[in-house]
Amino acid sequence: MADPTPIRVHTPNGRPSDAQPKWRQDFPIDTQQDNFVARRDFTKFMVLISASFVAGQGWIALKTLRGEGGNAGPKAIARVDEIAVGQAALFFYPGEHDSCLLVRAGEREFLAYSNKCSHLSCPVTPDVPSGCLRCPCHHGSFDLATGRPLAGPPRRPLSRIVLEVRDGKVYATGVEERTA
Amino acid sequence: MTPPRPNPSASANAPGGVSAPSPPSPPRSGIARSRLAEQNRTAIVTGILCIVLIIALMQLWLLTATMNAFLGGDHAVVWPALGASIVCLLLNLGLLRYLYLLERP
Repeated sequence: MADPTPIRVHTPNGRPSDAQPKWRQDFPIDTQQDNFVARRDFTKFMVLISASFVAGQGWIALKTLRGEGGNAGPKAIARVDEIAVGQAALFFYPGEHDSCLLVRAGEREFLAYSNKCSHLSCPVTPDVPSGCLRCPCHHGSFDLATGRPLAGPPRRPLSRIVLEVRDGKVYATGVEERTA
Repeated sequence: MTPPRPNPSASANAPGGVSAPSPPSPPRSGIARSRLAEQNRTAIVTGILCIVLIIALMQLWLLTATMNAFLGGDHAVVWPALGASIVCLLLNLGLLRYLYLLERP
């Protein structure tokens, strides 16, 4: 195989590239050398990004260990005669900052879901006559009967609050999170 | 410096099996050699970059899938996904180490 044609690399002080100071090697004049430095630095940056993905996974794992969310036991949220058929009420369960919606869909039918849209956590509003819950931020909507997404950007259903009706009161007893 | 060796295949292919010694190839200049080394280095770093990019994209997909599962209450995938992501990072760190070795004079 023939030897490559010698191409002279001009450097400001006339010395070879390897003998240049470190700062000049990081900002080379030569195109070939510049390609190498740019790709090398981009590779290093991508490895840093890769480490940040591991940090994100670790953060999720830590949240799992801490057991955030979950069930806080039964909690009375409303009296049956307080809410008429087709009306909704706001309550907080399991924490004091976890807002939820209680909807009375029928004479004996109560439904409750987390009030946070599964897309970007905007509060959803009930539209009982059309049988859905609507998110005003990005026009997402959820089925009132199941909490599953019907339209818009949300992909996951709303968290369902498990209810129990006894002694004329509605109790929230647990949170059911779902992926589909 | 060692003298250039005669090419054995050249003498074997010569008619009659005997040939005049091939003229010595002109000595490559240091600049041309370093130029070739630079081209090789750029090709290698491009290959490493492609592999690192593919692994990082896999990690991104893994992170979004894990987050979706976690928010949906499925915590079973969290730890295996963390393990897989760590393996990907170790692969990337291995390639990065190779990159540093490549730069060593």
